[in-house]
Amino acid sequence: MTDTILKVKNVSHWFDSNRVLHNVNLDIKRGQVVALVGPSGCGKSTLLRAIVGTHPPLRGEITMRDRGEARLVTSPGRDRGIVYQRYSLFPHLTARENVAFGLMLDETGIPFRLFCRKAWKKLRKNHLEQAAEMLEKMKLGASLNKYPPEMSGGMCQRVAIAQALIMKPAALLLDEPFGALDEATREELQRILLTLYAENQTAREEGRDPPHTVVIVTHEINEAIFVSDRVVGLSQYWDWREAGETSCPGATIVYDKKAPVFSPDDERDFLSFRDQKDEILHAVFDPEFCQSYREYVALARTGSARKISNRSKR
Amino acid sequence: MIGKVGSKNANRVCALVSIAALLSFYTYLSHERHRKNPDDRTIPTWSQLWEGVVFLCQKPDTEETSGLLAAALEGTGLEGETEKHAGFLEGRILWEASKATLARLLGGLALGLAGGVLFGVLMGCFPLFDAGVSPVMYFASRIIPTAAMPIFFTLAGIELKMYLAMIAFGSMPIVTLTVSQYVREFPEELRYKAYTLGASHAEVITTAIFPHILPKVIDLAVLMIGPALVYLIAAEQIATGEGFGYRIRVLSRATRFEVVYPLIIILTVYAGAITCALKALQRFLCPWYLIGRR
Repeated sequence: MTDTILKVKNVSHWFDSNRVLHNVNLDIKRGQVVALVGPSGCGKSTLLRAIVGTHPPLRGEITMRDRGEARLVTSPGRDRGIVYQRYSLFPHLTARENVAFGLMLDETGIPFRLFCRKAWKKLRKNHLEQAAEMLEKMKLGASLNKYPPEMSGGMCQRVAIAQALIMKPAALLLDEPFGALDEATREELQRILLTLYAENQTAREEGRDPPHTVVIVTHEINEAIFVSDRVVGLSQYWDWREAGETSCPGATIVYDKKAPVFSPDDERDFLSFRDQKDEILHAVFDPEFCQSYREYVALARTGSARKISNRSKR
Repeated sequence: MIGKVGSKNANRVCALVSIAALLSFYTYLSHERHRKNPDDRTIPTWSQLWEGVVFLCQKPDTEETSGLLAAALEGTGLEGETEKHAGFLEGRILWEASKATLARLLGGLALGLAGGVLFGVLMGCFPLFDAGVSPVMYFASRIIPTAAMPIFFTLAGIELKMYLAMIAFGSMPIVTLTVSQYVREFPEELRYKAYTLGASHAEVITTAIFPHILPKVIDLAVLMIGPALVYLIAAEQIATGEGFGYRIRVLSRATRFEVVYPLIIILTVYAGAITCALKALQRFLCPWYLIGRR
């Protein structure tokens, strides 16, 4: 259990009479790249916001464990990096300044920056150098001094990923990060996530802790399977009558299964995981198919990967 | 086609044509007026206007200004109070009026903006503070500063601080409410992101929100020049012994419109110069803002 970095336990959330999440349980282990998929309005982003800490759940709890005691998530913290689809960067900062922004906030306070000008200048130089290195790694060496409005959507998202990664967060959270991008740019960025997974594998082989734990929310099933090693499906289409409810109490996890692992150089062949895509479409997105709640809870408690079997029709 | 942008040269030509049309119309109007009445001074000719400019720039001779003052005060019941207007007889009109008016305008605007930004940021960031302060600000924003002028005279006298207080009071509620709206429009994603990068509340305000709203605050300052000038000139026309408003009132009562017109134009030029300075400051401090608007 010690390698569980993020634990979502019995989380439910609602907005007035609109019940969004119901009894969501999820354990994410260090080094996993988890894709969270689900139909529109099922609460994927609500769950991610709860994990970020901006909208804590109304029932249940979320804990983060990063080399120490587990901490209850009640507010945003620097152990969770976030990349959004929109407003991914601070528009008043250049690409390099955006990436160095977190280092500045993490390592200095306002009094230090105001009153220790000389030391701050030296540290600032160091931060900007680190940021430049990170951007070079993201193949953005030529855009260090560009402002976000001068960059394409794909470049902005790459800078946003660099901005989060430079902080070495315990978990990197991506909220539909590639949703507004064209297909070619999307693939380019998907390969960046595969690079992160490859770095995890290298670390494991060398006996180190895998450095990147990623949760990506996406509505694109191919993308979910391609970039992750585990796909979790959140859906409002489950058999809530069996759980004794008279109306849908919100979405819960109805699919949780390993995904094939690709390396950054592999060809992106969606046909190779067509069966799993169909399975997800059926289990998560099909309103006619209702997953048994008890079956889910039993599997969630054992922590095993979800098996789609004993399908039941409403 | 609607919205199609013309070339720079075409834009310049259009601007020049409109200015030339305005000047031609004025020339025609002045010519017609002087044809009917050669002694007319309400629409001065170009040569009279030039004399007015010279009068503004030179130190006037005491006899001439005393005459002007007497004419201005005639019929107002204040004929015996010429000593109160002693400042009118000293120094170069343009220099003295500019010093007084610009100090009041810039000082008042700076105070109003500083207070407005401070309150606006706090209101936008902290809903409880907003709940407490916004009713007062909405009420204050509806008060017409020129109508409340007697209160300012009573509380702050007729010295510089009265003008500063009046302009600050007139502009601050509007600046506060507008800035609080700008802060509320700051994308929540960026706010959350700043927190995940380790920012404290104060750092979110100073390093994320404030730089983001700064260019809009500068635009707001440009917009506030107009109302601030209205308050100031109205107050100067009533209460002061120096400034553009005062000079315009005295000279127009003496029907010296060849001086009044240049004064109004120079005042407009000052407002334009302040606008240009603020825009240059915006370009210098917030280059990203203009890139985003291109």
